[in-house]
Amino acid sequence: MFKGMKSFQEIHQSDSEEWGLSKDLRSHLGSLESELQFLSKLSGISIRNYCKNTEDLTSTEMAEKSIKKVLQKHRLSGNCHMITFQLEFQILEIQDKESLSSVITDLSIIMEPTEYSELSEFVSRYFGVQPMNRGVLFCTHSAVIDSINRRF
Amino acid sequence: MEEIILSWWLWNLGVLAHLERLETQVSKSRKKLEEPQNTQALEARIHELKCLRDKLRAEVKQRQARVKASTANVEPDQTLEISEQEILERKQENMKAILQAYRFTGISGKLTSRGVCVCISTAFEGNLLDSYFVDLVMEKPLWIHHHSVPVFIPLEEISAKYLQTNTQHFLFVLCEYLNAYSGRKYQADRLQSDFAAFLVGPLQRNSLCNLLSFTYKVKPEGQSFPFCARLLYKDLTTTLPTDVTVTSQGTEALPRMWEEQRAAHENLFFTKPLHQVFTSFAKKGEKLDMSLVS
Repeated sequence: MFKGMKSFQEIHQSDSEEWGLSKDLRSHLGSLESELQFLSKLSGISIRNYCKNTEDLTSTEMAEKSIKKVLQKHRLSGNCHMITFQLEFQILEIQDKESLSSVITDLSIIMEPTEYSELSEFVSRYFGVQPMNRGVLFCTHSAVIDSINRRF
Repeated sequence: MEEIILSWWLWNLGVLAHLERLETQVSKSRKKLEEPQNTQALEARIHELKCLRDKLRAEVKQRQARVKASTANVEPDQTLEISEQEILERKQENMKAILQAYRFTGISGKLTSRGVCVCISTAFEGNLLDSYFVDLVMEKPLWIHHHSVPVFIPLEEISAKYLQTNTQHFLFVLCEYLNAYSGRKYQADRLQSDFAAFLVGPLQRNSLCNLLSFTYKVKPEGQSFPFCARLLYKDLTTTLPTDVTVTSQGTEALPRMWEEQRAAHENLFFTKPLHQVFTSFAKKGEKLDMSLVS
């Protein structure tokens, strides 16, 4: 994957040849597209859709002590190799004078039924015992790889 | 007889000629009479046509004015252009958001003019922790331009093994090391901040957080034998220790109950993250207090 990679400059040059009414916008979209393709190859996960909601939970008492509390709700869908999934989770962010803590709560994973029936079992066990040990989706990725390796 | 006929004939010719002359005169005068009528008709016709032309010209002007007015308000081609622009802008926003979301996969990055800058986001048990970056230059051979990996992580070792042959694997291995380090550091930090009351003296730790040494009590106050714990994490890709020793501080032999506890604690440190072990101590302490009260 890294061998045949075009540099950012190469990609940009080919895009700037495109003519159109929103020339800049189109070429920017082109470079965004190639960045997304690269990330999808790098992580093994293709994110198709993502949306985020932020709720400020800072009370006046907290604000007085310079503490900020924010609840983020994330929803994303995509696929990891041949498995399509949907992920919803919340992140509670608490910022005080010294540090910032970000904790994932309320994780739910929806996976389409696949022929790899052990996979769903594996993923739920993996998430049950060691929730998000290496970051949310990295678990999904390695779980897929492990399960596939085990099967074959 | 012939003379009569001839003279009659000649007379007729004369008469005929005269008639002819008269006819032409009459027809000339008639034409003269008709000409003003034709002219009038023509002139009328011309007038008609002129009127029609003016009318049409006026209509054309009106239509042009209407068209101009309508295009000034809503130009049809421009409307299409605007909505296409909107669509593209929305698509751009969506793509930018997805790019941000990739940090949740643990490995994300940005393309640079010379290669790629990879970002490794670490986490431990649902807690999002530090991120590190590695700036790779896509040349033969691949090389690391700069990075934010701590000096005690064996980056050179890992890159020597995998960077050239399997770059993706290089990143996954580096990810493992960084996530494990982050997780160990998190546990040690939590012990120091949340359970300081249980510690007797400071927590001794190295930068890699794979060698921890501390003295602790199961109850913050009151009677209890302090224990000395030494945790060694030989495998740098794990967040649980590989070697645990829990000893009593004194030199006398421990009473049996405490010996059992010591062994149980050793087992706990092997299987549970450090700060969770102390959480369970705190809970047990609460239970004990509750039982004493009742």
